[in-house]
Order: sequence, then structure tokens, then C-alpha cells
Amino acid sequence: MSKPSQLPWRGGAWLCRGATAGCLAIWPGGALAHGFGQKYDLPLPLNLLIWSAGGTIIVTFVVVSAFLRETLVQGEHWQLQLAEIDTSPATPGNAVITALRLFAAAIFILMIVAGLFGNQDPYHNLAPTLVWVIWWVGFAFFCALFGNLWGLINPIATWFDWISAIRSAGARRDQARRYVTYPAWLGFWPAAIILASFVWAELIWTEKDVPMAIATAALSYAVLCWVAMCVWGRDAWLHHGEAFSVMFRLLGRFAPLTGSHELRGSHHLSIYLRPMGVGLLDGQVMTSSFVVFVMTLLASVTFDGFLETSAYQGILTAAYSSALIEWPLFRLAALTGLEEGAVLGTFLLVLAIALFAIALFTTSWLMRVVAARALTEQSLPSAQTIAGSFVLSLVPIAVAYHLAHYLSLLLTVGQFIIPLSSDPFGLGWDLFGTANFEVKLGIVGPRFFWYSAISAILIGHMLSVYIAHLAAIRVFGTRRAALLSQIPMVGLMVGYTMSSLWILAQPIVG
Amino acid sequence: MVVSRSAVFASLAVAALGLVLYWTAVPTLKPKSAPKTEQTEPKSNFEVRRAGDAWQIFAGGSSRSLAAVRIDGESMQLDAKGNSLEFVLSPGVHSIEIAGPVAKLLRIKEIGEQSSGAELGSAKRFVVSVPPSGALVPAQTIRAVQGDLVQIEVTSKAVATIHLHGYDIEGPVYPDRPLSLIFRANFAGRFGVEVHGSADHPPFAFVEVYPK
Repeated sequence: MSKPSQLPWRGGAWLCRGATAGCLAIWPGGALAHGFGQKYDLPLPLNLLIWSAGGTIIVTFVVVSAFLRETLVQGEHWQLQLAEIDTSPATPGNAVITALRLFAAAIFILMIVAGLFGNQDPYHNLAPTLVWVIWWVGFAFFCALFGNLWGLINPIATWFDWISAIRSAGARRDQARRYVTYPAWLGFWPAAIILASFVWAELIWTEKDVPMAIATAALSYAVLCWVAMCVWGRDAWLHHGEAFSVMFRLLGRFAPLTGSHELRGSHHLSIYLRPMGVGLLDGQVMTSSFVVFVMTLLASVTFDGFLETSAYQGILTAAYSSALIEWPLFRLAALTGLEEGAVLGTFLLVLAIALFAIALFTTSWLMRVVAARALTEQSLPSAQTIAGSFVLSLVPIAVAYHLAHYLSLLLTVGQFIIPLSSDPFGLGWDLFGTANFEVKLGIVGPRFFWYSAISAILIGHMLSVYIAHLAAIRVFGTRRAALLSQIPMVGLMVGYTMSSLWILAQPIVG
Repeated sequence: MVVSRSAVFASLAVAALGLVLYWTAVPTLKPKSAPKTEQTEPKSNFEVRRAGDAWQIFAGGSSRSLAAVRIDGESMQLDAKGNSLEFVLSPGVHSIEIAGPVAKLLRIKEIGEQSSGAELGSAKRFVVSVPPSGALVPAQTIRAVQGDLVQIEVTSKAVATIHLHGYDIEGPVYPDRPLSLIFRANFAGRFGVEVHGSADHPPFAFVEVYPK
């Protein structure tokens, strides 16, 4: 190097920077132009796909035959009280809960401020990573695998509580606020529509990785919730309308930890340990709006995987080359200001949700038809009741597929939260000395991804079949009717699991 | 009955968990057959790029500056702002030391045709061509095994910058001058190769690196 020498250009051998480095870094020094949250998963190899498909069938038969020998006893499930925390004012328990709520409320504000005023590069702003990876993927995992923490820390509810506490302290405190009664017919429809919109934003929206757009959307949503809470009351809206409360509560039913904190007014928080999935078994018959909510959640996760397959690319190509579809597509695109791909994606997302809901209702109708061979007309539940009783049994497969699909994303892209926590606004700060942390792609290999995905899906499938059987005993009463009814339901579940596995075996394109 | 049901449930779950651990742990517990090449340098928050015949070092990330750069032990003159440096390297192994906010050693291994023809001879070679813009051509897939030396020759009818995702290698291609992307496939996964600056374009090729 003492004498700079001329390097002849011979076909341009290129520097192998990333390859020779000890760890593969995806530091986006302007070199990355691709979208936020890129995944590098290898498709599931064919032999693993065949093995796990076989495993699905075997698991189904094992669970069903174990069920055959079992007597029809319905009892309380096992649960263990882990802790009972006194949460009355000025106790350590109360301090911990307040600190958690304060933390979540502060993070929410930080995210909004970072999104609105920070660096607009998605990798140099807290908002995209926090919302799409840490919260939507990571926090959902937490709620499904540990317990529903959202009910406790929901920042939208926290801010509402604090502001209304300040207001009522200043004004006439004796006068209880009167709310409009939440109409029964509205049910969970607001939550289902909000969830569908959120999923649209996640999968289709072209500005989903623009920090300012995320912050604006989050703030608008918070304002919508606050208005709705003012109209119908805090708890009514959190129960029916706040899509994330409904969703994390649903995932929390799967979790092994449960708390009694939902009972407001009591100053005790009891935490219980229970077998995973039993929270899906409490015998409630869900309303149709809730069924649609759950199917939206299920459809969205499957649709996300489907978007990355070449089959989806094939649909896009076919649509663009068909004059019949292309013309209305371009008109709609011009009308809505969206890209053609986004218009088509929106249409397909709605179609996917509809197909999932139709599949469940059709299965329920078939179950009714089959069970009619063993039951009298009077004791036969309606198809709607059946759908409402069995919808929760599909949740384990959904949780499993969610894990299989997003775990690698959380472990790789999720690492960005480490540098971002030191520099949330992308202004060159280094608050905790972690701003130079480098994201390591090689942290989990494909083997880890493959086997964790297959295991999650098989365990999820097993739990789903098991829960559906217990639900069948409850709904149909007699053993023969319950067994017969399971033929369509298990068929639906095997189909759902197989399509999840199929998506994992597809190479990611685009 | 309730107890036995939970017991069945719990033991199945434990068995499944055991399988997961077994599957994931066993490949990593196996002794590595081939000794690994010692390429474990720390990489720092600066970028080394190639511009034509020259190399450039940039202070990467959040607008830091390079305090001092030494190449093969010799101090280099920095530009006025102190955040970039341009120099020419001969093929071979060079050590670049960057002191300042970060003090690390980076070895650049330039695998040129002159210097290490023997090593390049063991590379897995692939040829891909950039499809004309707007063409709906299915992406080509290149398959390699972790640890392979991979050489991808990219040809194009138009001038373009080619970018390999994940590995983050980038280079220009010209109609009369194909680009050769050479890298050690140390990381398994599926990585897209795309024309830079075409965010809405899907990658025109994929590199699948399978675990050993």
C-alpha cells in the first residue's frame, strides 16, 4: 500500500464484504432499498414437508383415538394459583402495575413523536420496528405464550384513564358519567373491521414503513378509541371495539398464565398457571361477529404467507394480462390513488377473509348434518351455534402458524430495536451505548427455522383437534354425535394445517 | 379423569418439546468435519465500497467521522470533512485499521483473477442475466451450500447496479462488462438479487444457501 498501485479492471471482481465478515450485517447504510422486514427464510424442504404432513395425520389419529377411550366427563381444568397481588393504592403490587402502565404509555408517546418528527428512514426510526416487529409480532407471541398483558398496559386505555381522572378531579366528582348503552347488534363488528383495516395496513399499504404514516395512523386510532370510550364507556369499547384488546385477549386464552385483573374495582390480582389452550375451552358460544373477527385474524396470517409465494405472483401476472380484470383494476387504482397491486391485494385480502369465514360456516353446517344422524331434531344446535362453539378451537393452529411464520423475523429484524432504543429518532444519539449494535442475520439457521416451524404447527394442530373434541362433547352431548360431528371439523383443521405447511414450503419471492 | 387428561396433555407437550430441542440441538452439537477458514473479523460501523478502480471508506450509520485510518500500517490522509477516504489497493490481503469512535481491524480479501486464480477455481460459478425492465420473467434460483465460494456472473443489456440482499454486496454492470459477484456463502437462507433502485421490482434471481 506504500505505493498506490493501479488495479486493472478485469470483469469487475467485486468486494466480498458481507461474506468475509464474521457476522452477516444488514446495516442499512443506504445500500438497502428493499422493503422493511425482509425475510431470508429457506423454504421447507420437500422431505420435511412430507414428514410433517404425515405427522399431522398421525397426530390427528392419536388424539382422536385417545378421545375414543375416554369417558365423557366434563370437569374443571387444573389450575394453580401462582401469586395473589394486593393492588390497593400505595402497595408494591400497585407500584409495579403503575410502572408497567407508565412504561407502555411513555413508549406509545415516544413512538408517536419519533414517527412524526424523527428521521424518516424506516431503519433509523423507532416507529416501524416497534409497531410491526416488536409489538405486532413479539407482543402477540408474548400474549399467546405467556399471558395477556395488553389488558393491563394498553396505553390507549391508560391515557384515557389518566385524562379522565384529571378531569373528574377538577369537575364535579360525585356526578357519575352517563354513557350511551353499547348496542347489542354492533357486537364485535367494530373490532373485526378495525382488525381487517390494520391487517390491510400491514400487508397492502404502501406507506406501512413510513414512520410518519405509522404515527399518524396510530394517533388517529387512539383518538377514535378515546371518542368511542367517551360515547359508550371505557370498558364497553375495550371489550367490543378496541381490536387489539379483543385480539390479545383471544391470544391470551391460549396462554398458560391468566390473571383476574379484568375485574375492575377489586384490589386483588391473582395470577394462575394452567395448561396451554384450556382458556379456549370455557364453553362460551361466540357471536357471529366474534367468529368473523377470529376468521379475519386467521385469514390475515395465512394471507401474509401466501403473499410471498409464487402462486400469488402468478395471480398478479394473470390479473394484469387479463383485459377483463385489468381495466376495472386500473380504473379503481386511479380512483383510489392506490397502486394496481394494492387494489388487487385488497380485493384478495377481503376474499381470503370471506373464504375463511365461509369455510367455517360450511363446516359447521356439515357438522350439523352429520350429527343429525345421532340426535333428535330438538337437541340439534344451529349451524351458527356450532360455528360459535368451535371457532376458538382453531386458535392454536393460528398461533402455531403465526410463530412459524414470524419467529425468524422477530429474531432478525427485531434486533433493530437494540440500536433504535439508543437512537429512537434517528438523530445520531447514543443514549444507552447500543446505537452501533449490529444486526446479526445468522443468529438462527434454517434448521432452527424449519424444525421450530414444524414443531409449532404439529403441536398447534394437536391442541386444536383436542380442543375441538372437548367442545364437541359439550355441544352435542352424546358421544356418538360428538364423534360424527368431528369428521368435517377435523377435515377443516387438516386442511388448514396443510395449507400452512404448504406456504412454508414455498420459496419466498418478491 | 381430569388429572389424567392433563397428564396426557402435558406429557405430549413435553415429548414434542424434547423433539424440538433434539432436532435443533443435534446438528449444532455435531463436531464440524471441515476446519473453518479463519474469517471472523469484527466488522464495524463503516463501509468500504469500491468505486471504479479505487476503494472508498465511509463513516457509516449515524454521521460519525473517521478519526484516523491506517492501511497496511500506514496512516492515510483523510478528506476535509473526515468522513471518507479514497484509495487504490493492489490485489491481496490488506489490513485496514480505523481508529476514532471505533477502533477495529478489517481485513479485505480481494479475490482478483490475478491474485488468487487457484482459489477462484474452486468457486461455484453461475451466470444470470438481468431481464429487460417490464418483462415478466420468472426469477432464476441459484443453489449453494453454506461455506461455498460462489461466483455469480451478471450480464445485462442496460447499465445497472446489482444488489444481493442480506449479504449486501453491490456492484455496477454494463452491457459490455459483466459483473462478477464473488462471496463466501457463510450464511444460509434465501437472498434476492435485484436491480438497485427498483423497489417495486421483484428480484430477478435468488441465491439459496443451504445449511451443511
